[in-house]
Amino acid sequence: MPRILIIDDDDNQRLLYREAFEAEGYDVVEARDGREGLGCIADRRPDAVVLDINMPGLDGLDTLKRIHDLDRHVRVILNSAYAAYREQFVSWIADAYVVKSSNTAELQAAVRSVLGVATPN
Amino acid sequence: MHAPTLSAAMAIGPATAEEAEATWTELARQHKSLGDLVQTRPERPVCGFQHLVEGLRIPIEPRGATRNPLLEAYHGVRTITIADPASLGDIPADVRRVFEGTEVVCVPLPARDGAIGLVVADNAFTRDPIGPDRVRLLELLAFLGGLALETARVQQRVERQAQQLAETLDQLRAAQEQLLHKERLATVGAVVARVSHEIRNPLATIGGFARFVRTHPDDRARVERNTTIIIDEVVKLEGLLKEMLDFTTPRTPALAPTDINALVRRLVEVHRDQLESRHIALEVDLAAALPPVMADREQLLRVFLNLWQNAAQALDGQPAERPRRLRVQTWAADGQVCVTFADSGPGIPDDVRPQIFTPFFTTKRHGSGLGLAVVKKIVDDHDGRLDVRSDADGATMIVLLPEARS
Repeated sequence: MPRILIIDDDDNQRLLYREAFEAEGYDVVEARDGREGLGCIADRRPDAVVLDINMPGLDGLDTLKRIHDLDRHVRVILNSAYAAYREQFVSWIADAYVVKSSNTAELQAAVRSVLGVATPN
Repeated sequence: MHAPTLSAAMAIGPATAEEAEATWTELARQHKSLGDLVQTRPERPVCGFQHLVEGLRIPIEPRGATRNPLLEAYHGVRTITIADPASLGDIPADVRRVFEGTEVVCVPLPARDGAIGLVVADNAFTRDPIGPDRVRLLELLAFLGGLALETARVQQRVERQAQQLAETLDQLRAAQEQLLHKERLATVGAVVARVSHEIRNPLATIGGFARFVRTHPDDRARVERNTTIIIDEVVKLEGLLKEMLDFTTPRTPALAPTDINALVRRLVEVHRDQLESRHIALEVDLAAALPPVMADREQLLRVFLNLWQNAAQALDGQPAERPRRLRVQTWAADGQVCVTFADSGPGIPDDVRPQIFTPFFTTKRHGSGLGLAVVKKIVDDHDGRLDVRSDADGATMIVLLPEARS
């Protein structure tokens, strides 16, 4: 199964996404901020990255630029509580943009779509 | 623009020999002079002569382009006597008709930039020559008339400009009002964006874990963990709500004589561990004897805790080679009690400093942006002052409170 890296500074949110993606059979890796996330991309070679934007230190959009420089094949899904970042030019590099919600179905669908994975039964 | 003209404004005197005779007879009957007639103001407000000259207009041709003696007097601002108007072809026919067969004197009404009119006089019915004394009198009257007219014109211009200024001021006020409205809307927009972000995150977590609980209701361990997370996130939301309400609901401080040192000791006691776990060295330097201040203990404690936490957060991202130190100090000077929180962090960037007390402004990724705004508000409510110093060695927040009067 594809490997997914979740970069989010909120412990509970990471746990939420981990459980949701593991239930679908993905291999899940976590990072607490952009810097740690970039390390994971180099070491763990994920297929897709679920990237939060509002994070201390290196934020999501800066991280996105660096991911792009590092590995152009990895798929990135921006996952933010703010819809407004979509207006930021940099966010267009991402393969998808999902506004955080209690229902992770949209995020899961976005990941499947960018990876070209079939809908799980 | 209309071509400039001299237009007849006022005429005094009879229009015909009959009218003149009637007037003189009437005066003689009443034993009055012409001066008396002028003084008493004749009952007939408009004389026949006025009707005769009504609508009379002489286009003001450029100087030298005409030999019209009226215009010569006007352009040259000098008195001109015309012995026989009939002999001068340049006078318009209807003007000539008025003065026909008599000596006429033209006296300019002088103003700052040349003449602004003319007085034209004759002795049409007595046919007396106009002597130099009469001319001088006329010139004096014309001088006073010119002055009065000029003053009136200036006043008119001033009034017009005052009116324009008033209109401009109104427009400016309207523009300012509009700008303020837009600014208010922009502030509301920023507040809504910040608050919605702070709410959406915990809400997404709460909802997500609630769904897990519903899908796996029998997994006791997971249900317990998930409900704990939900409760934590709800507490977070409640905290945010409290902070916002505290900020927007004014509360009068409950003032009592307060020992600032005791408050700082309480703060240190409760929150010291927090610093230790973050590898931050704490230095506490309290003045031996501190005069009391009139303060609301709960509110001041909140101020201190906020400054303490800000300092700790500033040190979180500190590079390993830089010191991680928080220094809390109290002292008294010049009738004031001071508390400082000095961190060895990166300091506050110059472009950020003017905004740090602005509500909903924050450089942090999470937080309501109300912390320092609340701190400032509380210190203000205590008639105190909040000073900020920042340099390469870190940031220092200084709270100054007035000593309690005994």
